[in-house]
Amino acid sequence: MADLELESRESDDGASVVVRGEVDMATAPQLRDTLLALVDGGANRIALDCRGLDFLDSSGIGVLIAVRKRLGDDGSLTLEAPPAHVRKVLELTGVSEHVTITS
Amino acid sequence: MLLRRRLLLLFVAIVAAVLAVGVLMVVTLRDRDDAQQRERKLSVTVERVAQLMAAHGDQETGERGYVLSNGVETFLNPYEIGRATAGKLTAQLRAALDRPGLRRDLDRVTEAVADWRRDAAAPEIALMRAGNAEGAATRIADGPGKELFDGVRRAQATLAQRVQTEDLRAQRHLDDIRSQLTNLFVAIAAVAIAGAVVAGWLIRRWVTRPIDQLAAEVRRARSGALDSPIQISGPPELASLALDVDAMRGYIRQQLVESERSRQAVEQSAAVVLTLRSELEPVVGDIPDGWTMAGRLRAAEGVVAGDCYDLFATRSGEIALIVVDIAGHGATEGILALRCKEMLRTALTSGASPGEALETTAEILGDMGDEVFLTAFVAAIDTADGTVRFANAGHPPAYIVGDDSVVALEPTGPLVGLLVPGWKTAEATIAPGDNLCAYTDGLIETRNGDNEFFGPERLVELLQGARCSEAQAVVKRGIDEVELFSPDGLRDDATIVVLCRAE
Repeated sequence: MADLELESRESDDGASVVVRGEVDMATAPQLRDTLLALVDGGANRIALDCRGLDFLDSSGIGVLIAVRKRLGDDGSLTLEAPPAHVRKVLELTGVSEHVTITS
Repeated sequence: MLLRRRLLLLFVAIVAAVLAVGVLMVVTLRDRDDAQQRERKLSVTVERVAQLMAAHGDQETGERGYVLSNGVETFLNPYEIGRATAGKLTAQLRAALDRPGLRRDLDRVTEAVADWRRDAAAPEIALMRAGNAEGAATRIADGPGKELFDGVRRAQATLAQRVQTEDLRAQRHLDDIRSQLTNLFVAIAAVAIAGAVVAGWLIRRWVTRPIDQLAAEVRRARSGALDSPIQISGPPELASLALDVDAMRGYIRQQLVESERSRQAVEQSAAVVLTLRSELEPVVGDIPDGWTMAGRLRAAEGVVAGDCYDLFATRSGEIALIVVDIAGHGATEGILALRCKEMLRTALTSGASPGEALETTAEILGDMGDEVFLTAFVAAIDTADGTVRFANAGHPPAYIVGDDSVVALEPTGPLVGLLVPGWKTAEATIAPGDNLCAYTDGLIETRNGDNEFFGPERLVELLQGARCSEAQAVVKRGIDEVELFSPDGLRDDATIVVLCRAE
């Protein structure tokens, strides 16, 4: 069973979330609920620590797109240090064009 | 009246009856004991009266014997003994006799005896002791002794008769009480049986029959007759229970009606779903010689996949290949996939390049929702020279696998559904003997028991091993290997499409 652990910290106008485990069809709702709650709570800049993110499938991509759309032009979504295969998925799908990826 | 109150009253009535019978029994038994005791005492009294009479007789006989024997002293013994005995018996009788009349009778006897002794026995004995034997004998013959003692006899007879009468009366009284007791036992038995019958009848009427009735109604409802209401006649508690059961019946009936409606709805939508599925299957047109193509879609859940693919001839000598993956599964996604496929197909048939076809489609679809997006691989293959023009919208790369080469057809633009569009059309070539394979992420992201992905490497290896085969065989092998790899089943839709160019 794929598990996902999320640990979020809020700052003035942003939030950072440590993402560990796998984001797939089963766990994507968990990620969605956490991130959208942060957006609704007024967070403008969201940074995801992706060091421990093992897997991201199309459901996860969907969540990232939804969050990116919600944040609008003023906001930013940053993915910190995603593993190579996750980064590749982000690039393949073109999502990398709309989020900030740091190594 | 409440069943509880009815049963309480019944219980109170039973307890009261038992108490009354108990009291009556105790009273009657005590009466019998009293009567028995009195009768025994009177029997003893009768006996004692007889003994008293004998003692008086002994006195008279002894006294006469003494005089007639000319003063032999031993003849006076019975007189003295009888006197003592009589005194003792009289005292006992006085204590035992409980009726004043009888006591008076006894007093008369005592008085008569005293008279006899004073006026007859004592003077005669005195004359004898004084040596006047003749005088004594004459007094016995002519004196008042005989008459006085007859008085004693009469008084005694009266007493004896009265005591005997009393004894008989006591015996009759005892017999009466005994038969009364027997009657009482019979009556108690009869009342107990009648009470049990009445209580049984009442309990049956109040409890058993309503419960049986309710059980029959419930059984009827269980066998499916949910339309007629459940009602019973009986005490309020059971009637209210029946009301509750009836409410439950109503609820079940309502649920049944609703579930029947849902079932019909599902049946109707299942028809839609089946139609959808057949629409999602590709329409393979005429295939030019030297080419084979095949595809297969394994849906993860239900019968509608979020994947779809198409293979068709656009114009003479050109084949179009479309693979679309909508994020998500289900009827809505299936319809979106179908729309998308139709739009791509129309665009390609009217001569648009793969990139243009994607642009047009994305434009028409617009923003499909926050999390709704799709990836697509669209290719147009010139069968004459093997040229492939393709556009890839954020889709996993398709592969052209040759003898010792693997060309990945990487994305030429983002997935469809992001804000920014823009898909280029790129080119590649399928040499004779090469395969083109497009697929969806569900295929390579299938996992085995160790949580390992099937991955693109295994797919490429499989394609290399299947060079120069018929497309149908390659697709079959691909699906077989993936299913073998993941015995627990697929979590996502998996699609594989293969185009083979013969050598």
